Amino acid sequence: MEKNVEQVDAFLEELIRRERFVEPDPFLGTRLIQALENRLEELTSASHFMIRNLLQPVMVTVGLVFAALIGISLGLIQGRQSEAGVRNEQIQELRNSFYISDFADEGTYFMNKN
Amino acid sequence: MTESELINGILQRDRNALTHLVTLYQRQIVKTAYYFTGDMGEAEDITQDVFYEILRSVGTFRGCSGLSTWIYRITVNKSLNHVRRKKRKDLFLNLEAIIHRNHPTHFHPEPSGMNPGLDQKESRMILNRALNALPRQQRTAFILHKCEDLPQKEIAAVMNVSISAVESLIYRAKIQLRRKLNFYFPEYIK
Repeated sequence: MEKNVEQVDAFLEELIRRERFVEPDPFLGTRLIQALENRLEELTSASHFMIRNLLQPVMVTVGLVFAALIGISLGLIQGRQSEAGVRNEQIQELRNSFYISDFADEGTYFMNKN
Repeated sequence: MTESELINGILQRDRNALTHLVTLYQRQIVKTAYYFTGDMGEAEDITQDVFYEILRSVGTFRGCSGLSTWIYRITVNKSLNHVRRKKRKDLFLNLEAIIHRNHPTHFHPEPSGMNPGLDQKESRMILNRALNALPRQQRTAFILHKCEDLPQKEIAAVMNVSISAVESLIYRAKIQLRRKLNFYFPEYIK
């Protein structure tokens, strides 16, 4: 049995020893450097791709949304101002119809009348 | 070029640093991957993947261990994943062969003892099959120790286990391999 173990161990050592002589392709290094340089270019172009195809549309969309929001808020301000203008005209008409020269406080006006 | 200069160079995508990295580590990576796969073509593919991974994640390298240890770790992980995927693929191919009543794709060399006429392909197949039958941890420890001649301290760092655990893994791997390789010495099989 002991002899068997020794033989098996020697067999294993021999298998490993044989594998030590196996060498990779001598041009592996050149191929690897080329592949890595290609990958670097891909990474660089990927960042350009990101800017061109992702950031640019995002910026345009944000700009459009911003412009739309400014437009809506300007429209709302304008609407309020025109409403206020209509109200002023109505008040002016009322004042004219009641011959009120100046607009006085309602409470004081009626108190003064009494 | 020092290790930190090399790492900075890779981080800055410096081509000279990349060339230096490949020159320094290609042999280490390809040989380790070869012991796991038993096929030089596959080992070269794994080597390329390992370099891509280094390029991608060198920023996460904290320098707690040496660069070589970190690269060994990546190589071992990539190789083990590759072997696992290949095993799964082979299993499906064999199942397919059985279903279609063909012969399985594996070749089983005859038990022949210390046959001096055992050619390189056969001996590689025997070693590869015996190593692949080991559990992942035992296989890694054994390959790094016996094939790569790494000291146990470095194996422990690569595998992230204690030195005594490495000793135990190597010992158990040897016992298992003896059992597997007994098949080739039929006169002793009881």
